[in-house]
Amino acid sequence: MNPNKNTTEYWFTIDPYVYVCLTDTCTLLYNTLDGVTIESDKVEVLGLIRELLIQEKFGVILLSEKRFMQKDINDFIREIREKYMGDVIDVKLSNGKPIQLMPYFNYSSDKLDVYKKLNSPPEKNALENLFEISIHVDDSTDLTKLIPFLQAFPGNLSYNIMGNIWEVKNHDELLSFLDQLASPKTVICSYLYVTPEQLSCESNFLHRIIVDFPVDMLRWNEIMQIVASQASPVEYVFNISSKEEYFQAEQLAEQFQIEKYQMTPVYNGDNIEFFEENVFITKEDILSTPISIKDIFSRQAMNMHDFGKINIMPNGDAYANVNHPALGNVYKQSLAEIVGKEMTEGQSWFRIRNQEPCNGCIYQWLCPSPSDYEIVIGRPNLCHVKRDK
Amino acid sequence: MLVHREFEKAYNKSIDGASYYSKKYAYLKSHGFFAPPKTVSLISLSEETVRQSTMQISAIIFEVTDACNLQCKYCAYGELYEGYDLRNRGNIDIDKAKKTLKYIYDLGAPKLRIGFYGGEPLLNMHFIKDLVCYVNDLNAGKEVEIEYSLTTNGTTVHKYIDFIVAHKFLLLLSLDGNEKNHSYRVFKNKRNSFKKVVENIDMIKRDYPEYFTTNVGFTTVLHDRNSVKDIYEFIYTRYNKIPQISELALDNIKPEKRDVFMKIFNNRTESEAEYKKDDFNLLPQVTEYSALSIESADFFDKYSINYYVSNLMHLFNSEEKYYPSSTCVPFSKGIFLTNRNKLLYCQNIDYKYSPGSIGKDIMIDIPAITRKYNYYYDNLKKVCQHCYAYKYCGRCMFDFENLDKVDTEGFVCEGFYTKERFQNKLSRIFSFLEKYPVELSHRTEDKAAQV
Repeated sequence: MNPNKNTTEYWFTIDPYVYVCLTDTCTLLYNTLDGVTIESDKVEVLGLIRELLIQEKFGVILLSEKRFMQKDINDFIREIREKYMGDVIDVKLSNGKPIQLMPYFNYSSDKLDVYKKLNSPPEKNALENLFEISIHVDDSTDLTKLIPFLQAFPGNLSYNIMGNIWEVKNHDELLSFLDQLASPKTVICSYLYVTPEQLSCESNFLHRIIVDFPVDMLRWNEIMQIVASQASPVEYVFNISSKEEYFQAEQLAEQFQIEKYQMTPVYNGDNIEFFEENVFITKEDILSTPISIKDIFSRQAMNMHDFGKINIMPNGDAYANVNHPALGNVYKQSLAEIVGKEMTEGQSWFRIRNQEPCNGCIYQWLCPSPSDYEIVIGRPNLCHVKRDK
Repeated sequence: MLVHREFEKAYNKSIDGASYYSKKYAYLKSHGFFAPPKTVSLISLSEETVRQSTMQISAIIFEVTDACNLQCKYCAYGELYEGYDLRNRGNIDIDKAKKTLKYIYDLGAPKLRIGFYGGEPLLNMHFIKDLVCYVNDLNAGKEVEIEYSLTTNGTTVHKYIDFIVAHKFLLLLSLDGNEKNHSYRVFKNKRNSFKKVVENIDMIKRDYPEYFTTNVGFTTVLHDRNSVKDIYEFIYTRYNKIPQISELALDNIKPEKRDVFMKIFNNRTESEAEYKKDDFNLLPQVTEYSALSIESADFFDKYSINYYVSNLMHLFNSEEKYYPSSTCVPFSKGIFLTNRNKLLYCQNIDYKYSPGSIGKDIMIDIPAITRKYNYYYDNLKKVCQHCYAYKYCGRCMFDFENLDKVDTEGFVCEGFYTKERFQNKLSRIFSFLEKYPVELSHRTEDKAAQV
């Protein structure tokens, strides 16, 4: 860097594609274009960033030559320029103070209320935020009530049927109703209940077969035969709670040449070590995949696992997340009311990393949204970056 | 994005390719910056979208009467304009109004906004009271939040103020400034209504101070007898309120009255510029309400990196989709019922675009509405896809004077943005933000706070 020796002041700015996080003791700059980072815990640098993140500064602050020449700041700015994450500009080159439109997520750790209000009625149609319905079924499901309710739903939703559909009285009516819809439809069912009829008659459905351990191999072999004789698209989900189950699942997948499958860790109250080893994330995990501006907005504004999704239980109770209180009952309230309630009072769609210890972590919005594991395990963070206090 | 001047030279390839800014330019280019503009993909309206919008109507405005006790020179139903139904029908049909209201109420929105519009709505106070009573019965034991609003010229508001305050009406009063500024707003005998209106407003402020602070607003028409400066200085100084300022309606002017219209017309942006040139600092409170502020707010919401703040669902889309023009989805802003039982998408749309009327039953023909919209959209796409402001131009197609000619070669959109015009727009917005960074830096939070 070779600033003009005759000048004494500069405008300092960070480029708008850079995520900036500041805590009391550290700052992190993440370049969303290439994933490159800069970290600093230097007091002078923290002061510089703190000033830059004052909203009234509009992304640009004045830097005196003295401050600019301070070693820590000078080193920091050199690194910023080398990594194309910001710049200093001689003030003589502009008539007045310029501005930089920074992404909103840089300004504060918690703007959730703003996101909520600007995306809820009356600003936005609540149902615009809904895109997936999971219908949980069992032998108490009453289709004479459920289907008329579904008929009033927006036409662009995805549907999941969860449970043993064959237990439902007149289940054909539900399947044929959903079959008419152009939207994606998935039947999610334990391998224990899958039947040949199910796979053969629902050609427009994706079938997700859940496998819990220990596996009933007699039943499993039957399933393999049924699947082999049908053309319906099938995926498998192996619920695993230990390394042993992981290896068993791998073995099943290999032995039966299963291509589409996923492993889902299951917390059983006694396997936290398995989770610490395989689910808890590290700083390297967080930075291992590119994180875009949209990703950061998403993580600061919503829960990416739950947002836009509603679960309907056999009795009509509706949940955004089944681990949280019901939002209402679909036989008593409209879908818009239920969704509106989640938007304004709910605990699921907007469950973000705004609690301790995440709210003091520089990876707060680079880290994926909290999952159900955090709820079930009873910890706000499942990581090795910040240990729970 | 703020860049060094040397960067511009790198962009224009007028400096050494090994320089820092040449490298930064190459870096950004390799990450998708400066790519040729993509072909814009504009979408059509689906019946499903209209159906969902119709099922979630949560606002209704009644044209209570077409009668008015004033004869304002610039009235959109007055001597300068054409294209509206004759103003001789009188009062709205109470039964059809109730039927429509019940239809909307039964849709189940948790909050229902009910507006009264005219003519001068207070000339049919019987209807307003009757309807409020009906709503009370309908809502007995239920929890629907009801919000009433009323737009009035203020000349007779003293007679009904107790009722209005008791039901917490949002009261929008028409006031054009001081007595001279207000002089187009005359009674039938040509007498300026200013004294009566101000007497009534003063009374509300004096006798109902809390209500006045929370529920009273002002709407003002800009013309040749006032200015942005006059308006702000009178209304803000006297009432501590920032009024909504509108220009005269530009569509449906009678050809033979165009000269008169042009004499009366006053451009808001120019009037604001004059104000700022004089002593804008006198009223810094109005900065965020200026036309430039609104334009920059639209830029924030629709074009900037912070677009997602108020469009969370778009975070899930790999490609953003836009309709041609900035016309609202039918009924997304509510429904307007005229005194002739016609339905409209809002009170600002010409009656000729009414999608239906209330007869024995309420019939909203969703396929027909969708077809009509898409007829316009399909033709507008040919223009909008070349427009630099395609994401949001702020123009409703029903305001296009020549919408009926949208399928002809001669159709021209006056709001069309060429590259140069869009560059000027950006320059205007950024200059404004540079000038008022402190006042405008919290606008996202301010907007949320107003919701």
